[in-house]
Amino acid sequence: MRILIVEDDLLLGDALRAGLTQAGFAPDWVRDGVVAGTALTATAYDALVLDLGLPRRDGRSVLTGLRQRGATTPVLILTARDTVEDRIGGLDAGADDYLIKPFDMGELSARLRALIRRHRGAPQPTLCAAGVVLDPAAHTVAVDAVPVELSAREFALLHALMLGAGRVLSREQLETHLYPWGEETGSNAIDVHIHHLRKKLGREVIRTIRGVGYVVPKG
Amino acid sequence: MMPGSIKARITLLVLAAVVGGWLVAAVLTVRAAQHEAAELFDGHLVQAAAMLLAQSALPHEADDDEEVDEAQHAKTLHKYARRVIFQVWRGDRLSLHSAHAPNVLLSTVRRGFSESTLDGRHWRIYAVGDPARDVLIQVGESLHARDEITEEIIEGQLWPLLAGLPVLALLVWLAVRHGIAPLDRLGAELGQRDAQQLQPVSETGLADELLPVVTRLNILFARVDAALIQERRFTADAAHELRTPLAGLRAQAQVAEAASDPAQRQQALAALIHGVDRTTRLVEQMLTLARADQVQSAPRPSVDLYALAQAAVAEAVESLPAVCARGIDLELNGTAAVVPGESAWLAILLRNLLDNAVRYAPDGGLVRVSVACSGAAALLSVEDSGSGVDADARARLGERFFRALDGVGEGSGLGLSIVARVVAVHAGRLDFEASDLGGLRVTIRLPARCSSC
Repeated sequence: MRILIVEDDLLLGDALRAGLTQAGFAPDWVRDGVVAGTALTATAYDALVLDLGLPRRDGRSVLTGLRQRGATTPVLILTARDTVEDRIGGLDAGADDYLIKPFDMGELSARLRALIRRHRGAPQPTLCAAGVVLDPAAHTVAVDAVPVELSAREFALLHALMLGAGRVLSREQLETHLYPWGEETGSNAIDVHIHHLRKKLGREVIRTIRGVGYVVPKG
Repeated sequence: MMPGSIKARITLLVLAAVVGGWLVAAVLTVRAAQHEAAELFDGHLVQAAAMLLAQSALPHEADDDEEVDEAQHAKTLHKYARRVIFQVWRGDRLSLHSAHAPNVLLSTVRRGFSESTLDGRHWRIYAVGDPARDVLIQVGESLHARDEITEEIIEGQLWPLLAGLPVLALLVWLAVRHGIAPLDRLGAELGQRDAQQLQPVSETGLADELLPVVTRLNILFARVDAALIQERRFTADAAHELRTPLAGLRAQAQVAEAASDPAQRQQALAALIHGVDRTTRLVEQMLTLARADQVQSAPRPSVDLYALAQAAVAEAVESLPAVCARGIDLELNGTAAVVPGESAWLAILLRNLLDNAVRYAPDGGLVRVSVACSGAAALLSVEDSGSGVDADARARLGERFFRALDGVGEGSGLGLSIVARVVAVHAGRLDFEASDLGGLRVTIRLPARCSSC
């Protein structure tokens, strides 16, 4: 799941990038509002972690710009401003959640998962499809109640497919979901991961639609 | 011993003045009245003597010792009943006398007024004679009546005073109380406030004497209020500013905790330690600024800015890692410049200026410090060869927590606020300009004690 982190503080931004990666997200980190605006137009992120006090263009402006374009990307504001007025203002300006510094990394991850779930229209925290149960919080996958070990990339790929269960996702779309900037790999990588997943989960879980992409059927 | 209450004081003073004045007036009145009464009685004596003298000229049998029983004529008692005695002497013979007059001359003085003691009583005697007929008249009057008059007058002066004194005291007290009422009101209004209320006291309709007091009080309130507001704002700002560093520390710690790979854990822990150092520095700057806020302007010893700058530059080369790591050059030129100042605070000022300049300077760049004395001012300037600060940002440079470098450096945003505060306490001037080196020039003007200027 691609996340855009907009935070100007070196220490915190670095920690967010590392921490969200540990939690299974694919985060990109930018340090000012102008670059954030550009990144948002270039990539479809699954969620945005937005600091308000940014140089060059502040967080509120980035948010308003995003919403004015009609983008529905979930936004979580992460800020030191803690008054009720600030919270109301942020939420009314189009944010979906508001978290005050300092915060717990686990809580941030959980809130992001919730926002993404809701955005994808899949409100159940655990994903069930084709006999597979995937728990994004616990990072577990089970087939017919038997736990299965997956690598981080495999897990992320399966998660993306199951989030969009019933929808066909192309290779490019899957790549976008999985890889942050600087980690784009050859198009083969997806095929390799799919192959591994099929071996571990069974052939029927992921169907190939020739010329279009892959799909995990619902149910 | 004057009592503590203003009302009591004024009342006592007024009463004392009134009573004192009254007594003085009373004494003068008594004296004057006494004098007039004496003249009056003397006048009567003279008249009586004249009548007797005239009567003695009438044809008269040469009888001796005729008594006139005055008692028979003195039926009407009057409070000023005069005891009068008289003698009519013809030659050496007492021809006529009053009932109680002795047989000897009433007084040895044969003409005019005198006083005499007869039978233990004091008499005023008037003597007049007709030497041609060898007649001598002596008329005497007891001084008792005069004494009585004096007593009456004194009483007449004193009784009203005594009777009126309580009433007077009450009236004075009421008047004073009414007059002092504005002061009482002010006291009551101030007494009602608790320690947090600092709004000004109303200055409308105040008595003239209270106006300066209230005006200065309001100035004081305004000053304390401003100080409290600044302190609260600073505390709020400080708490706010600490949140992001703390969030960074916590997040790095959690990353270290969750790291599966030792290299990643090490990296996170290293970042954590670096973050703690940075946050420590931020807190130290905050404390310095808070202390600087408390410093009072006071007479100060003389300090040489040039010597301080030398020490500061040496310290910067030693202790700022960026100087070596990024190859930044430091340069000092100038002459001795003596200013009244606190060397500790000026050292902090220099340290912050150098720290800032080194941050702004590019790798391999230059930071130049200049000290000069011109006229009555010492000039200290610190400039860097960085890319400078645009005019809008320059205007905001002294603001607390304002970082002009947009997070490129890791400044606290407080360094220049501390500099601004130290300059203010030293009654100096702080200016930010573009430097010919390319970057920012910070110029400080301080009043100087240069002997060579």
